[in-house]
Amino acid sequence: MIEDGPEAAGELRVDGLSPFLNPECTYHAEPSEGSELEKAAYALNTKQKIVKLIGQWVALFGQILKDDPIAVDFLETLRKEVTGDSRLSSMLREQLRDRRRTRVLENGVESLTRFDWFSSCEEPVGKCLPIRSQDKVLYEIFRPDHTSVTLMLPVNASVQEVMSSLVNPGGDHVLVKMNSMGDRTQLKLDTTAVYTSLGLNERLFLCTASQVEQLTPLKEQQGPDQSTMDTLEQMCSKDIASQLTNYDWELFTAMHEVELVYYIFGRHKFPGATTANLERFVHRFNEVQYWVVTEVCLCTDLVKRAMLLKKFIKMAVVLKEQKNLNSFFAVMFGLSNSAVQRLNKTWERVPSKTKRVYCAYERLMDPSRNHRAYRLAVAKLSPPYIPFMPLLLKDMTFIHEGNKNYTDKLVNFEKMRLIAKTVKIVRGCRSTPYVPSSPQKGLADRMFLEAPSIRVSTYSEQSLPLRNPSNIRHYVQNFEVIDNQRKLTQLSRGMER
Amino acid sequence: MGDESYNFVFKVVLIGESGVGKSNLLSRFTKNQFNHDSRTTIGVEFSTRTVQLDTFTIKAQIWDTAGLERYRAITSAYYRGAVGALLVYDITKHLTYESVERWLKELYDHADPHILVMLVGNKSDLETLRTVPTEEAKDFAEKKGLLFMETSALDSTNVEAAFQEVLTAIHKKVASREVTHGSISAVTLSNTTGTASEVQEERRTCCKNL
Repeated sequence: MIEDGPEAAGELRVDGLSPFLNPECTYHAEPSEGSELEKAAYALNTKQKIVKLIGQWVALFGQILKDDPIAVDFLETLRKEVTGDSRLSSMLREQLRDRRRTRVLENGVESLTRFDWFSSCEEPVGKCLPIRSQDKVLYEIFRPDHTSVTLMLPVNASVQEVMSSLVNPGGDHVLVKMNSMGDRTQLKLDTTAVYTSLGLNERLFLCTASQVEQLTPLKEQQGPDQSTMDTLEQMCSKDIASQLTNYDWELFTAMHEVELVYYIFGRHKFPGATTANLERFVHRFNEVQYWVVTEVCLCTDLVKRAMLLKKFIKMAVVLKEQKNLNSFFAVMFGLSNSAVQRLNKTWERVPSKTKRVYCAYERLMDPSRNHRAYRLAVAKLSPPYIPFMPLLLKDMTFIHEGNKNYTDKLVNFEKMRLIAKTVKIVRGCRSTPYVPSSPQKGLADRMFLEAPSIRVSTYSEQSLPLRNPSNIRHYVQNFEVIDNQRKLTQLSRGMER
Repeated sequence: MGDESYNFVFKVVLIGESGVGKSNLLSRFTKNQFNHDSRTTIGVEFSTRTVQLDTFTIKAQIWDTAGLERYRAITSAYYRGAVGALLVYDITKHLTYESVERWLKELYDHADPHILVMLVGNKSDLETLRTVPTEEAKDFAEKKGLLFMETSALDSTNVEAAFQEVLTAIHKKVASREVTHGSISAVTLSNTTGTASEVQEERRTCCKNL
């Protein structure tokens, strides 16, 4: 197992730390026979391997290990052991230093007497910080009369905790999750992390048991009444796509790869674990997708609507070029929504060249033969790229549901390797850092002529403040969407019979 | 494996909340339970099985949406061209039953209006933990015009029967021409037996027309 290196380290946490994290049974192992000298050599060798493995394990999990008291305790115990043995501590320092050297230039002299397991772990850089399981996040809870309270609670707070911070225990209050269609789900008291698992336009409501049936969705849950076409018109597709990608990279890097494992195996099986960052990324996909549908369905002017379709297709071109497959598919799935697809008159007005591009991309979405088209396309990509997350999660679900964790009370390593292989895809995607694209003209601009309204270059940046990157960034991070399919279909029918 | 000639291809989707055992039902039916050979090709050959109904050979293509539950709108891409659906809930988890109506709504929003739906209460082996009474689900199914069955993917109870019943009902629908021409895209209506590639080709053309 030790020979397996990082892969084995990745599997360490799957079934809980405790049996492994007992220095007595592994670290202090001794052979039963052989000369004293042989025994000593064996012991040193084993210890070195263990220390090396733990080093790799820490590197893999990084800062999130600090949220696990068992792990912290274990690392401290082992650190003391290692510090007492100069042969081990010098080896470990070497290992930690090596890893750091490959990342950043060292500045200053390192302390030779004390080492820190986490010295080479870095927090992802970016404006979007990872949510850690100890972090508090803003919960917004609504009452039946649509007034709300906001409070800071741990990201993993249980329904019980949420409720007890609002009402006295013992009452007949319940916490209800409701979507824009008015579908209500009463949450169980022991459910945790409800806030990060909320769907698009879903909100939490606190009421008494008798009020549940009267709860109605908020106005804001219905989404906007007006399109943002006026704003969109002034921004060029490429700039929007770049900002979408920049934001996606922040969200994607904030997610730790092990969150995938927690998510698939069930977060509750790993005390202190969070999947909030992964869920935020899942949420973002749905948001982008419905943004496309919403904008098209709210644009009542036929000519403008056709321009909008063209714009979204062009955005898809850029997103694909930027190797942002997650948002690429979000835009494409948005365009393939039945409410958009049925707008024949609008599609007729889209230039045939653009339509051809769309059709070619549509083939990538085809789920037949287990998404073969996509898998072939992605196999050719080199990092950095953002994968189509839904498919990774689907693959992992299949592996998990189709294979047992244990066979004859032994860990099913074959399964864990399959899981690890999928997790490693995510690692591979991010193995090279993403560099935000320069505002240079790319292939997309050569493939498509800019729409006339954008090509007029007599405007200065000042008269078109919406074109500046920070405004576009603000726009893409604050989408308001309609997620009610019925409503979208209605709007679509209202525009074209 | 060598049997590649068939009269019909029926596309059937498996939907329902996560954790209700959709993939297990599928693997039971396709008798391809992640053994050594299929493990590395998850989902590829995992999803088809050829069955004999009367004198017809029917290829069932079953599309599992497991793992995609949080991406509601993506699953709609799976609904395209589907002629049947198994809407699965877990008889021990009432919440998964409560969400059936929502899944149904979504299915009808995106799929062919003539789609044949069976409500499937899975995990019938866990009788002692049951929270959804059979009668309640049965009545609901009847009211909504759905087929109904309780299954256990664990001990195989009714899995075969559930798929057979759905396929038979689709076949009956197709044969009686209850389905109008425009909405049978995934079904090959030709009487001549085609090879896999021919049918695939035909299906693809139809999808484009949608």
